[in-house]
Amino acid sequence: MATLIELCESRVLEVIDPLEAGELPWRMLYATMEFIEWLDGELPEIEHNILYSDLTPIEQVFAVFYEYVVGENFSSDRRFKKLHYTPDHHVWEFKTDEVRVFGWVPQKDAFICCFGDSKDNIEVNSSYGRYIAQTAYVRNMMDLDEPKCLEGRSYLDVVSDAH
Amino acid sequence: MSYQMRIDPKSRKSARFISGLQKKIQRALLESGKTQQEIASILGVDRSVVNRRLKGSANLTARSIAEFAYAFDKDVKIEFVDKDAAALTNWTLSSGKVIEIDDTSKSYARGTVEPDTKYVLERAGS
Repeated sequence: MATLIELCESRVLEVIDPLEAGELPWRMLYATMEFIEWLDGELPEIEHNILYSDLTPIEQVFAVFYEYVVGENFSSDRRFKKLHYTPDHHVWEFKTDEVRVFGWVPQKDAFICCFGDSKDNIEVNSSYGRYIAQTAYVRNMMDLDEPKCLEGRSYLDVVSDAH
Repeated sequence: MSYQMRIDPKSRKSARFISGLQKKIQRALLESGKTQQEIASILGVDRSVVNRRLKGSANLTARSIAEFAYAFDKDVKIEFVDKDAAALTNWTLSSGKVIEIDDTSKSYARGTVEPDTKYVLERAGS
């Protein structure tokens, strides 16, 4: 079993840093290597619908990651929420106008990004259930110290706010 | 080492500004205590228009922001200010690696130390 730091050292996980030089994180954002590949390869290719947002999909993801790491409050805009599923797999998502990112909360103020896809793809293919199951599978297979995730349902169970 | 998204500085600036603007409007709505329906009535538009403006950045214009300010009974102020580093942090970073410092390795002001403190220097310095 390994800590988050050890998993980063062994390149199982990577820390995502959306901050500018001199800025400090309030929360930590981790990603699997598969998710990093998706960020680099597939996210920039997601078709942008200008009716949805002024921001392109990659800008939307960058913005929500930035706000998470810098410690912004997410309690009212539902862009960071737990996915309710029976049984509960303790999977959370980041929502932007056009993108969904699935992952879990290994400890308070930390999040591991696992899968991403366009909102349209997910809705057309009804793939929420599949992504929830795949995220839980990746978590179960990861050599992470127990407990591997927080099981709280509420926002305040999993994050604190900087302001 | 950490991963940085492949997004150019201009896009980073735009993303942060537009997303932050949207959050400020949502926060102002909450603080106003008004419902979306009440805002819609004040502005003479359908509630769905207000909802779209609040949820999607595509519908935010200088005019719509000013109209929100009118509905919230507030003024809007936009300033261009010098960049400022964030002062708040919840974590300690060392050479790109995240380390959590527990109470036993806490330092004290003016060079004094708690006599019973046991330092875990390797952990703190790695």
